[in-house]
Amino acid sequence: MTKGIIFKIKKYALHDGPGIRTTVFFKGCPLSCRWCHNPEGIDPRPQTMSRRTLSGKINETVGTVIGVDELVKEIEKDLLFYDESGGALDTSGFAPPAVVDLILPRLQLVLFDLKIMDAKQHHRYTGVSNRIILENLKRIAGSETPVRIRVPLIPGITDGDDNIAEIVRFAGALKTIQGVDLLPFHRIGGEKYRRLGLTDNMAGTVPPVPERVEEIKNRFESARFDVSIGG
Amino acid sequence: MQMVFEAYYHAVNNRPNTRGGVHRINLLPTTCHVYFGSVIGALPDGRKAGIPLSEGISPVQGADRDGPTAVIRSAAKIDHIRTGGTLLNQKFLPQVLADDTGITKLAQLVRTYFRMDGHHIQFNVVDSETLKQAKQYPDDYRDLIVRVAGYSDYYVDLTEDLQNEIIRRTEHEAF
Repeated sequence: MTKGIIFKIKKYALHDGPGIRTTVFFKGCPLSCRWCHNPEGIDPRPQTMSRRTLSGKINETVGTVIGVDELVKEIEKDLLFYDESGGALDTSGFAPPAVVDLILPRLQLVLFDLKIMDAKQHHRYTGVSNRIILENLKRIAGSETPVRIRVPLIPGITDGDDNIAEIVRFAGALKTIQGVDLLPFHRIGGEKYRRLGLTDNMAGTVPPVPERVEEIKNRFESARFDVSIGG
Repeated sequence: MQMVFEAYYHAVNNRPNTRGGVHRINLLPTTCHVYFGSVIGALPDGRKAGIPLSEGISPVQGADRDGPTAVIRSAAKIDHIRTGGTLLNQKFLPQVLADDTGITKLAQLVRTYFRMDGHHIQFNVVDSETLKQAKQYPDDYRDLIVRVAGYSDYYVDLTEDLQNEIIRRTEHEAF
């Protein structure tokens, strides 16, 4: 039986697509974005995360190997809520085109992360090339499946005028883009780095000011995109 | 829970009352859960003596750990159709309803509950800090209206017990 490794199942998820959903977080992300908010999702193996409690430090294992049937059974508990939300894939887009072709016909919506358009900068900040990602986005946008593009707004990395203009231009040429979700940097993930014993490269970075987020929103809106802040 | 429901239903339903009719069951305490709690001793679930019981079919205060969808699925396991009414309270912070998307999602929650044959759900949209402030400085919060049980009331006019009770109701803030 096919198995995978996940690190969280979030019920009543309100910010990962329309309606009330259950979000399953898979472990083993091929990217390692410098600003990653879920660093426990990068390593494809179970990991130890420490947590301080009143009675001292305790270690927890993050990552569960789970079979398809067991996972589907858990997700189906909230089946009635999905009548109004549907299903979606939230993805970095870094996958072999054959995999995209395999799952695309089964999807109702794709939430596709688009981070940095410049190839060199993309490699520098995420650890991988964006060539496959951009090709996959074109591939998906050429199908019937609607796509929402998600753009993390990371101060000094993704929120520059040039990068935003490039994203607007690239997305504007695609047909099935339903909208754009802007995800401003926040510091909630910082504590996870400590708990994993990793260095938080974004320590000291402040979230973008609301005025800047609004400015970027306007850029996308002038290109006739439906824009939401925070997904 | 379903066993308790069945026992209650069969013990009460169709019993003659003093006016020539028959009794039906309701699962809504209005504010009786505060009074009943005040005369009931400590319980094995950790509830201390004198503390309010849960409101209607709402989870015991602090017991809804798996979020609103789990609460709704549990509450829907009761056969609401055989009752004269049920009460499920949920409390939300204002941020959840800050925009149209949030309001739509709340509507979807209600509709899903009704599709499961849920009967009645009501919401309090305030943060507990506001309620604590209101308790301490009632003159500054005269206009604060909260849904109590089957009705809404000015928070500052409620008894201290009821005020504390509303503060204790679980807040679903971790979205």
